[in-house]
Amino acid sequence: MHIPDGFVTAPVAAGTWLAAGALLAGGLATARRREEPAPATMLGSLAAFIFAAQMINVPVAPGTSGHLVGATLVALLVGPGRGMLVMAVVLAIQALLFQDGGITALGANVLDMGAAGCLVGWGVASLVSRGSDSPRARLAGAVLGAFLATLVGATLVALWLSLSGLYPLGGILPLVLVTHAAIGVLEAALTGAVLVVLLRWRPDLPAAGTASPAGERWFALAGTLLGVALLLAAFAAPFASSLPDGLEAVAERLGFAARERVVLPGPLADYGVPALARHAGLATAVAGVLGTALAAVLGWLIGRGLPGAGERIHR
Amino acid sequence: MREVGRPGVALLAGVGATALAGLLPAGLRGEPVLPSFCAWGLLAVAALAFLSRRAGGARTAARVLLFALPVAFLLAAPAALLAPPGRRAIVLAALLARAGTAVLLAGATAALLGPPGIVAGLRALRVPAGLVDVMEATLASLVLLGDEARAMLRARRARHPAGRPFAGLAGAPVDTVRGYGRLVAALLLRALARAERRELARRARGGAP
Repeated sequence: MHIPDGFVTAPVAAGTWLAAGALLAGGLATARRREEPAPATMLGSLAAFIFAAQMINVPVAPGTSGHLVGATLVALLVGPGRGMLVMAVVLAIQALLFQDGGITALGANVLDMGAAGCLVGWGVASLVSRGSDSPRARLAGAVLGAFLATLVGATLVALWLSLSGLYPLGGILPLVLVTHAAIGVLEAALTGAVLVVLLRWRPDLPAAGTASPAGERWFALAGTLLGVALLLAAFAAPFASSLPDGLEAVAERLGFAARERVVLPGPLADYGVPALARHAGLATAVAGVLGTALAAVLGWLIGRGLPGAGERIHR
Repeated sequence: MREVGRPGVALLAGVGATALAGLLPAGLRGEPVLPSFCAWGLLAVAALAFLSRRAGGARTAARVLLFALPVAFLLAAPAALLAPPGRRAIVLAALLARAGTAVLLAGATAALLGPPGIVAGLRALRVPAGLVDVMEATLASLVLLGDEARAMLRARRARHPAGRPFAGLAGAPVDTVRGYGRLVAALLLRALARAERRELARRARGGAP
């Protein structure tokens, strides 16, 4: 989701802008060593495609529909470094021209949807296919990657909003993770749906291979590792202590979250929150495990017809 | 779209005002909010004054507020509930005023500058060319690809017996996923083909490779 203006404080806005800028610069510096140049026209066309694809809503259940975010898809097409650039441009246009997402929150939104989507999505896809040219493995990895990237993005959203003093992290995290487990499965399915057609119609497109310079590869894998570690911490936090604030404790130790904890009124103050949090923790864990399993099954199902490693596509 | 004389200055002022409105304290930690409310009032009046000088300005203001306030309410309501009992209403009002003023200012900036003005402004502010070039190319094909997507959806709707582009994931997941994949993949290939033609044309006119 796009965080609007007015919900991140100055330190969070500054920190996320800096981090997003540094990640973009790093990704682009490592991507620059690619052999084939990507003209701005092509990246711009891809960004416009993401815009158009985000307009196409798929009915999920009566009354709800969803759409692609597309970061993982873009990263697979042009690599994680340029993928982040494309997503940053999409998000910047949405913020500057359409007021979808705030300007102060642009850094946070680039991290949540752009960087998480491109680095984690691409990284998981590349880890699952282990650099082979197997379209089937590549697709399975992309589907799982799109799911995990959504969860990493959701964790980051929760982190920014709680560091901004809006809610306690332990309260918002389970809510965000459970809803985004469902949203992530949708993103995984839609990413897979598009990718499987692309791999069939145009096996020559870069989505079919992992051709990336070593620097960009390591950059994306480091980002993936960081993202997945964050995700594990988010899932483990409710079980680690009675008050599910493992991440908050870390943040406080690092010195960024020196805010007094929000005091809940009435009977909730003494016993309600830890018990509630434990249930929420359980729900989060169940949603996470179920979602991951579902994404893995989807990746296998969607990619069934594709050739594996060493096989060729018969046309 | 009337051209703005100094797009860099205008963009900086608009973005700065938006950031100022969005970062003023909203009383979450018990700070006084009266000064913030005064500032939001002034900034909102300024945004509305700028917007009213343009045709359709009132409509722009209404559109950005209608679009932003539900999201703002969704984010602000739980935060207000967590505030001490006596301060809930004031925190909610402050969060909504903060988000509303910021989005009005951002909307006024966008309406004043328009897409070409924003690109020119970013160039004037020395945002890296790699980023602005891609943004300019995006804006050049944004409307066309949007129309393309709408046309493809209309064609699917016309072919579908129930008059919908997709049957829906709940009823027919396989058909929906397959149809969606084909539509979006085709859209992507059209976007890439379009990029290739544009790039060839650009080089034919003497653009650097």
